[in-house]
Amino acid sequence: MSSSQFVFEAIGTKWVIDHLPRLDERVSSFLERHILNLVDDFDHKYSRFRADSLVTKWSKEAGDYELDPDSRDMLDLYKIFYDLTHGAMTPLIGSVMSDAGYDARYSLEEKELQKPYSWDEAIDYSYPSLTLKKPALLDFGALGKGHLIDLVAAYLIEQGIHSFCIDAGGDLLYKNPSFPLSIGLEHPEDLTQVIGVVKIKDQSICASAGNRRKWGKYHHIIDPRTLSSSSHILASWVIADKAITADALATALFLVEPDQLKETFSFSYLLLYPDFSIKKSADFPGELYYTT
Amino acid sequence: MDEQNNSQNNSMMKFVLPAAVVVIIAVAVIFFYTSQKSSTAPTGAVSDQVTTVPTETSATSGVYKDGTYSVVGNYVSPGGPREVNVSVTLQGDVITDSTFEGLATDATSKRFQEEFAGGFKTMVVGKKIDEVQLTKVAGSSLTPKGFNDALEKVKTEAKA
Repeated sequence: MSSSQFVFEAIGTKWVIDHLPRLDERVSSFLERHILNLVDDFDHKYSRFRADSLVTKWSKEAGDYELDPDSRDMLDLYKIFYDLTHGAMTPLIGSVMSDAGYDARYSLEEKELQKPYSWDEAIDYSYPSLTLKKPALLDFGALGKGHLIDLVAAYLIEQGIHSFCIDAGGDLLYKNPSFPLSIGLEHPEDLTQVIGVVKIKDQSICASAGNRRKWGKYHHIIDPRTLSSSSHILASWVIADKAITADALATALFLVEPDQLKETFSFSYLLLYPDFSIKKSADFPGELYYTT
Repeated sequence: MDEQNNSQNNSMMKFVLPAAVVVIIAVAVIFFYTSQKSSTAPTGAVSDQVTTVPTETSATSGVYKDGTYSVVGNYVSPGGPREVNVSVTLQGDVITDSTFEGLATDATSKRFQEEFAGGFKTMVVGKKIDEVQLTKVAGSSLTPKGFNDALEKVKTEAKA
């Protein structure tokens, strides 16, 4: 049984979806069109880089909004993280990121940073209702890609495809009941190298690295408590059942200690520090390449 | 039933061994520092008080049971007995992680223990992807295109 591959660019990154079994060409092109629509629809709503997005609209007008089902997991999870991390992980970081220069124009020009609103100052959320007490620029970057991977996966399963790998620029979800997949852990400073290999099955692995998307003194994770980007960790990898969870945790580990999260979430992790020493959960699967 | 118990006892005995080796290495290095830097020969013998506590386990077919084992090692420095905590994670008979914590309170021993701990931590290195033969890599190399373009632009402007 051979597999099919579907490759496309979306939300600024390259997507590669491999699936079994190989499908009739008409069926696969139908699936592909649907996936492209799903991804574009998501981007249209939740990207803060699009002038016509819902998120951009929310950033301009306070008010009551009725949410679509695809936002529910993101906001529910954000609230849990917000409480667990005492506000360190927050969707309200959007305004800070934007002021730091990671804005809709990618100006990369820094303005003076101000602490974001607290959840209660700006948000009243109870699905499906979202009330913004003030105009607020929400950022779904910490978990949006993971959630989109889960949405694409749910669609494939609904279509009767149960064996696939969705790779969205290095964040992956792999579904296969029988065979584990070996995945390299990218060396953050040398893309031709990996620092180890893990095997996953019916799981997601997501990574975050502070030396990517870096400009001035910031990278894509900014701590609202200090208004600076944490430099004590070089990269993080998280394995969890759902991509949204793995994606969010990979960011959260830049902000808080793993212990603060392990009561609530089931995951394994690897943290890489700037001196290339590591910290990992005892159950992190696979092999790392150690200095001898 | 008996057989199972036996094999469990066996593996219990066996994982004491690598853990003890780590403690002995730790102690040996501290001795080395101590004797070299203070030029006083260590007095007394090493007394190994090894307690092993598997904190997490999973089933594998290795010789040793997977898990994290913590041990307390004792050594006698010229200033008296000192303790160190060593924990080792075994996975498929390979030490995949280890931590070292010196428990000394006096300045000299503290310094030696810290120096040792600094060099003790495991570091990872890269291997060429072609060597490892992989089809998938987890990382964040594929950053948003718009961002990369902007960064290139900034770099070009900075050079101009």
